[in-house]
Amino acid sequence: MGTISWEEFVIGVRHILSVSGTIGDGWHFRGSLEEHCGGYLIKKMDYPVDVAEPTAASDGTRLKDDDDSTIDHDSAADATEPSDEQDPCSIDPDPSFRPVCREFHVLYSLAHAVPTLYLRAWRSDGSCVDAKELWNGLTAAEWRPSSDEFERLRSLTQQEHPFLGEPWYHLHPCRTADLMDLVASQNDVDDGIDAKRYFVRWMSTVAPLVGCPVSHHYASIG
Amino acid sequence: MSSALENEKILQFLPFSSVISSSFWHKLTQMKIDVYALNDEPVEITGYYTNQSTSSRLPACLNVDYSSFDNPQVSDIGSNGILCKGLLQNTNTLEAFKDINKQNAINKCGEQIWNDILSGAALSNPGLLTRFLLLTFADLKKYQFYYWFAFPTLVFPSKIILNEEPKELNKVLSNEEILQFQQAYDEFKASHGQSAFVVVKNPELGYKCHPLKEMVNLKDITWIGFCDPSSLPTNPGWPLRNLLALLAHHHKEHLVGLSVLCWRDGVRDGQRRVGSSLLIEIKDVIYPTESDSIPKCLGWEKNERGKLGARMVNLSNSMNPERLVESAVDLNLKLMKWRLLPELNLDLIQNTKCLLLGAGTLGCYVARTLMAWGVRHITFIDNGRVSYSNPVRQSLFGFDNCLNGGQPKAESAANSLRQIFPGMISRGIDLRIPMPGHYVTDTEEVEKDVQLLADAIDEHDVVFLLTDTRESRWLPSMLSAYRGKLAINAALGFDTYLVMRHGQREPWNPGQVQSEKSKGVMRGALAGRQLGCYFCNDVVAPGDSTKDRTLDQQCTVTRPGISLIASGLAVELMVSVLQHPQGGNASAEISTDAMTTVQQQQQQEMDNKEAINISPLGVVPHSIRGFLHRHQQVLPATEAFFNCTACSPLVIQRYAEKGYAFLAEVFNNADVLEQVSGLADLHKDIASIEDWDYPEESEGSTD
Repeated sequence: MGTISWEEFVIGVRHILSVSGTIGDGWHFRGSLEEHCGGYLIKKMDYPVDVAEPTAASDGTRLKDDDDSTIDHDSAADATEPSDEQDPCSIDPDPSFRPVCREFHVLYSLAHAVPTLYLRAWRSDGSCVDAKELWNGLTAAEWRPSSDEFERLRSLTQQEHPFLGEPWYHLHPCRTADLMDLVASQNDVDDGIDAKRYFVRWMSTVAPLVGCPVSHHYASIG
Repeated sequence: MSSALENEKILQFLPFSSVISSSFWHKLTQMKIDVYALNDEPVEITGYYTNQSTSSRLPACLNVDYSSFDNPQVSDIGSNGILCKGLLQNTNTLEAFKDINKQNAINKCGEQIWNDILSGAALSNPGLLTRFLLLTFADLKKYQFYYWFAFPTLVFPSKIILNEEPKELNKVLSNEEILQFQQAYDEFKASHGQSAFVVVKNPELGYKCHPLKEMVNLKDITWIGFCDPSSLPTNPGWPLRNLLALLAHHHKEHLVGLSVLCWRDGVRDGQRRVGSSLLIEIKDVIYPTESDSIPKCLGWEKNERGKLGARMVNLSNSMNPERLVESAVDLNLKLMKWRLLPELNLDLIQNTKCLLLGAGTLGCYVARTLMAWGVRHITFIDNGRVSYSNPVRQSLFGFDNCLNGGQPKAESAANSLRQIFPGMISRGIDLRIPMPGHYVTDTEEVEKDVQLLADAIDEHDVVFLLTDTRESRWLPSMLSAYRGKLAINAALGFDTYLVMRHGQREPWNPGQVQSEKSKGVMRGALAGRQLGCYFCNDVVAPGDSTKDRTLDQQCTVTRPGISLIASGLAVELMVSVLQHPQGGNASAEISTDAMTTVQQQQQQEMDNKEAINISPLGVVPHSIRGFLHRHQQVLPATEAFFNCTACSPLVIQRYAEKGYAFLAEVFNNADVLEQVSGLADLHKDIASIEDWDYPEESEGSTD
């Protein structure tokens, strides 16, 4: 019926972890797989974002240059400040790009009996990227589906992270079971749902929508 | 490179760029409140970097996050993460943050690194060489965080001279050789897990990686390797600098001519990519001329403007509970739009300003339902005080509001809305609505009240008539019609209710008086402007509240559930009108099947594209009359009455011409209304008709 148990979820997670271990794409698990609903999969990715992009300029939380609350080092006036002499042995990072980090968590939703994707993105100073910018700026253009069905699927809700207690975005799990019914029925109607296949199908359907690539290596299930 | 001689290349290192996860600030806030309190001594935290950058446009990131406070293991940060030690100093004031002697702070850290080099501890654990300092000041009232990172590096040697530009590994080694080395590295990583190593290539055994402390016993060192956070094609990352200081102290003889492997171990498209690792050959080394006991230390991070200085970030968007609740409320409504009703215009609802006349049972429930739809502007008008009987029925009040004679209801309800949701812009106006037939003693006072009410109606988009008497609805009905506002009316009987929208026309304009007489439409639909108001069905002027005319008017004695039903319907009716492409002019079917669900409606819409009477939320009735004793609801639509005492052009024209003078007459004598509207004439006509037509029945049935 498009749903899985925690035990099946664990089988899927173990598959992801073992493949990720060989290809090194960074999925790891925090918490305990032994304990019921005891943890979640994590992947972190850094992206360069062009500073010249309008989304960056319109961001209200960033400091203006004339904001007197910034503390610029005022040359040699103050002995407590670090010496400003040129360091010939260092090179400044490229200022035209700034890193944006995205963290993806895969949790098991007990209420809906499906995996749930949580995500959050932040700039290097820790300020959060809001849902709109998340969609616009960070989903690769080729992954941006235009049909209504996908628009709805992509609806992000802000939700308190069950483990961290902070506001995260998540793809609401209420449609996941329907979606997985659709995806599953294409190939193996009578097959039953193999937990690994289910998990990989779910990941490869959902994760790329929010800019988290899933390697084809996961599809080879031994 | 201005100081470099010709043909001489100085090796330049890419400093770390700090990357703070939003969760770091959450955790810091928590630690500040629960653990550090006013303690501003430096505490140890842990950061991490990787040597698997996915893009050469990314700087060499040093990350701190929620795990930084808990002494994390490599398993917590992913297999390619390299942990590094840091010191966090969180000051109590911005002044203290500014006053910290930055040079001393970094020197102290440099001294620690130098001591680890001298003692040889860094040979056994090269991780000790990469450290960071973090100064913070957390302004928890404004959710502003000031911070400044330092990545201390020893200026020793002072310069590294290169023969030629660093080369990428895949330009030096064959794919096979790279694979061989990769295996050797993986073995080393599994057994030692260190971020720096010695590589020896044996002609027979191939590559092997050794920990740094074995260097003293090794001959024919091929490379010194380190995990490189940089992804630039010509520059290694910051950790190499202190590593070279370590080597310069312990193995000075090896340094000139040494090859350094900047190991970059990334994954792209599911494939491991190590080819962009760099090989650097050191031609010469220049040492500092001063003979300080400890080498100079530098490494404060530049801010976003490329200057040495602190940074500030404002996190009220993600940390301020008032902002959080606002976005949660919005997102919740957006779910409805995304999932069920893509055509829904939520901004339109949010920007609609609602005036609620009456802050009683209906007023409270209407306000709550408006709030649930995302309406932000709500104003109450009421002249009562909260009494002991109110809170159980009137959902915005509590027991405390009744004490000491009771708080003014309008203001109390407005405050309550803001307590429920701080994003509300709510106001209470303590005002008694002047009524026809209620003799005016203080003319000045009443004139002021009328003006206040007229201004309030002017400033809002929708007027809800929720007072407990019929005659108190007359003035706002008339003013709403005059100003062309949408008026929604809800009235209760004991177990019946009436919810209706008044016909909405353009604001009164003497040049365009539409004095259409009723056409007696009995079938089809009526346009919004043709619809009647609450008073259109009455053939007497309001003003006599001693006699009960219909059940609607016995407001105070009702089955408690009725007010929730009627309030809910009133708000839903408003939303349906707003969502209709024609707004207040949305037409209403004279008879409509009341039992239609949204899904059926959508189906009907598919079937009949010309169904113009429908908003995305379904039909927009003129009125909804419910009868609880039979659980029945009907949706009658009636035409505006040419002789209506509230909305007819005759009455409005008189108000437009005479203003308050006309109202004063009405307040003192309601019969004036019947004369102005022509009802009086109608009464005469009817009387003569009755005399003439039904002489026999006149004795019989009278109510």
